[in-house]
This record gives sequence, C-alpha cells and structure tokens, in this order.
Amino acid sequence: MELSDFYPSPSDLIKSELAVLNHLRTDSYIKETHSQFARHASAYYDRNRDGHSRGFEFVSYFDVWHAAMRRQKQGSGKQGKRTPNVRLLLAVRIKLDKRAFSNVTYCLTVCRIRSARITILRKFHFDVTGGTDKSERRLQQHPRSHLQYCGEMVPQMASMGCRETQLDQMHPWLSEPRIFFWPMSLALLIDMALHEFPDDRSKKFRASSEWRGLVRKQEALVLRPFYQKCVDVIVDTRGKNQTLADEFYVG
Amino acid sequence: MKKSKTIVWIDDDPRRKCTADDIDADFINVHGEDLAQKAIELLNGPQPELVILDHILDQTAPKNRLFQRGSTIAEAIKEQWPSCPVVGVTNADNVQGIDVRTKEIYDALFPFQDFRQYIDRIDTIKKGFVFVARTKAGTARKLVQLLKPPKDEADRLVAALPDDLKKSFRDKSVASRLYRWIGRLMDRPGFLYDSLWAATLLGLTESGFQNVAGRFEKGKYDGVFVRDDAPRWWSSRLSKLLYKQCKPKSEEMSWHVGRRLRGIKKEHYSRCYACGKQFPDTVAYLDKVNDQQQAMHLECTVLHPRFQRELYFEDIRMMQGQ
Repeated sequence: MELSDFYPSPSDLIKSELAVLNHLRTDSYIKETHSQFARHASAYYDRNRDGHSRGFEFVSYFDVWHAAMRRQKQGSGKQGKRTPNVRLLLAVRIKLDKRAFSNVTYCLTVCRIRSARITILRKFHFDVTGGTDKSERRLQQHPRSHLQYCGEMVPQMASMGCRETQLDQMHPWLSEPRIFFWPMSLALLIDMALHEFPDDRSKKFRASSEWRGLVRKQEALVLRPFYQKCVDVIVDTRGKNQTLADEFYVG
Repeated sequence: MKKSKTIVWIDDDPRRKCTADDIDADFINVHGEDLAQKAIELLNGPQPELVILDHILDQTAPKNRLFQRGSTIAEAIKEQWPSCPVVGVTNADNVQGIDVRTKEIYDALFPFQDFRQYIDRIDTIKKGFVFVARTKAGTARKLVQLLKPPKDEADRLVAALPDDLKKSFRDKSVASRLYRWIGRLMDRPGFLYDSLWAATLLGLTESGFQNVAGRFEKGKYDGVFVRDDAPRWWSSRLSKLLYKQCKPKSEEMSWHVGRRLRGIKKEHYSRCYACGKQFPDTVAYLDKVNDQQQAMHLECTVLHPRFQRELYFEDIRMMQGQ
C-alpha cells in the first residue's frame, strides 16, 4: 500500500500545519497564557513558511497546572493563581526527501515542573514512516502509522529543560511495540494535550469556533482518508481474508 | 477643489520666517493681527499642500484666548480641507503641557527648537497626503497596499486596520487617519520591527545588525509615510531574507541562523540583559518607568502594565523584578 492511499500529500499537510501555526501565533489565549508558545509559533511559522522542500519543524511547550500532580503547595487556593506543575512539550518534525515524506513524527512529552528542574514522566511518538529515511532502518515490520512509547530525545527538548538521562528509566532504545495508530497532526496533538490537561481558559480556547474549525480541517485531511482506508480493508468482500495489519505493516 | 503646491506657515513670531523660507513655506506673520481674519483669508484661498501652525499665538490681536491657539485654526482647516495635513510647532517646554486631545488635532506636533531635524518628516507627511489623495483607494485592501506590505501580511493588515479606516476609506480625512495608524504600526512592534527588534530576531546586537543591515534592505518599510530617520523592517521579510541567505539547519531558529551571516563576529551576539545568557528572543523595557529597552528572554520578562495586548502585535514587556 502506498502512503498516499491514506495520507495527504506533503504540501497539503505542511500548508495545513502552517495554518495552525498562523492561528496559534496570534490567538489571544495562547498569547496571554502561553506567551512562549506563541513566540515559538511565530518563529517557526516564519521558518517553515517558505521551506516546503525542507519539511516542517515545530517545538514548544505549554506549562499548565494539573490537579492530579500532587505537588502543589502554594497558591492553589481558589483566589490564587495556580503555579504550573506540568510541562507539555510538543514537537513536530516532517522530514522530506525529494518532496516525498521520509519520516513524520509528532511527539508529546509530559514533564513535571519542579522548582529547579524538569522531570520527564511520559513520552509518546506518533509516527508515519515514508520508507525513504535510511537512518530509520528497522529490524522488523512495523505499522506505517503508529504510536510509540518513549523513543529518543527530540534535540530541542534539552533547551526546554529536559535531560537525556531522564529517559533511561523508560529504556528509549526499545522501539517496540509500535502500536498501530491513527496519524497525528499539530492541531490534533494540541487539542488532545489540552483536553487531557485542561484548565478553564484552555476549555474556552478549544471550544472557539476558529480552533474547532482548524481541528475539523485536520481531521478531514489526516483522519478521514486513514479511516476510509481502514473501512475499505475491513469491508472488503473479495475473499482476500486480509486484516488491517496486512495492509498497514511495512518493512 | 483648487489646490496650491505651497506650504503655509502661520506664526506670531516673525523670527521664524527664515526657518519657513528654508522649507519654501509662505510665512503668514500674525503678530498684532486679527488671527480670525487671517484664517478666513487663508480658507477662502486654494488648499495648500501643508499648513504649519504655531500652537501658542498669544501675540495676536484681539486678545481673545479662543483665537490664540493654533489648534483652533487647525480645527477650522481640517473642517474645510480634511485632506490637508496640519503640523503644529511650539516651544519644547510647551509640548508636555498640551493635552492629548489637543495634540491629536494636529497631524504632528514638533518642538520648534529641534525643528530642522523634523524637516524631512514634514516633507514625508506632505508627500504622503498628496499620494493618498491621488490614489483614492476604493477598498480597505487597496488602502493597505499603500504600505507595500509583504503579500502574506496583507490579510492580517486589513484585519488590523482600525474600524474607521475599514469602513470609511473614501472619506477625505483618510490620509490623516492613515498617517496616524502607520505611526502606530511603527511604534508598536509586530508587523514592523525597529533596529533593536530586528537585531534580536537575528540573534545580534544592534551594532551587529548594522553590519548586515544592507543585506536586509529589501525588508525595509518603504510604503507611504516612510521615515528615513526611523527605519523599520517588515518582520516577516526579515526572516524570509535571512533564510534565503542562510538555510536553517535542523533545530535552528532565526536567532541561531543570523549569527552565521557573513561579517558577524562573536561580539555581535546578543545576550539577555536580565540573565546574561545567549539567544534573547524578545525586547523589553527595563522597568515600568524607564524608557530604555533591551533584548531579553521572554521568561525573564513580564507584561508591561502600561500597555494592553493587541492582536497581531508583540506584547510590550518589561524586565521581571527579582
């Protein structure tokens, strides 16, 4: 199966990601609550805008207060401003090789903010493999679109407070299992991150018609062809007896 | 409407005639004269290209305070000729004492003591008003095109236009309102950057940026009301020109790439004024009363309490207190 059977073209995907960055760099919630994120969105927008052939990159973070993180000692009262205790680090890298996808990675890292350092608690990669990245040789078959727990450090994570040694406990050398998963996109990743780690203002942001419009567009761009392909495989009545794994595993 | 290609200077201090002569202005000396009468004579004639008014006209006769202020005449001129730029001059000591509303009657108000440094700006205002009047922009987008913006910024600029400019761009006072708005665009970083913001975007000190500024000439603002004394760069063009000269490597941002420009040495690298570390990514005031600005890391700053956030513009920030 070709990647184009269930995944958008590089130019369509990058154009869509740029539209998301363009929104994020001026959105009032992002600017007010996550000014660093807005700054990064603006800088990466300018960087990626004219560089379609080079691919797409974006790394930034949201610092949020998460009730389940039992650390908050001060300022957690109703009146006080809650000090963020979680850093949600988001990274995107769309690598192209001769205008074709080489590798596509969306990464979500959940970190605990301690007074003096950042500790990595969870790390996930949502990958789509294009099959042309020679640095990504794998020993066994894998789903073209998959979710991977941990994975290696995204280089910019270091500049955002993470240390590579913190990944040791998760054994980043082990790439398996690569769990067959739907393809990710920037708006879908942000929406998921803020849905899982919500606050009152992020709820409003997610509910805004502009943001929902962007999410819906990316759902249509990235998820619809994927699920359509899945349905096509599942309902196939030509007696092939094939499974989703038959279609989506490569290598 | 009949127009003349003249600048008219109305003043009650005859010593200023020689300055008026320097800019080829027709000097109307109202010392001991009935100002109202002189104003009526002016308004009955053809519309000049620009009027300069002394703000304090207390050497006129009769001694009616209503007619001893240039702003009163400016109101009458604006009513008769909404497309005529009116510039006020006054002693530097007076400028602070004039209330904001009165200042806003003029398109610009300059202290007379430093008048020579404003001659270019007056020329810019004059030419800009003429240009806007000639262009007769029929839509908000055409109005924005007068700024010669980068293609992909036009939509955002139209969205950022004040409501009065969006709705009534055919009104004769459009040049006056556009001039004010462009002044605001130049003051507030966002679409346009001054040299400190531009340098910071490229990871450089201002002196470092001066070394490479020539290579960013195409990024300079050269639309209507362009000012040579205060250059501005389209922020989006700066990064476009930068990445054209130096391709970013993986994980590099503009402040990394700028340091690889030819002619840049280590001493040109910018550092955060607050923490001393490399790669500051914003510009902030030192505190809420200080007018000095420096490059800083965003996390070393907080929002400046005197400035509101504005969509499409950078936040105005100040150094975080200890």
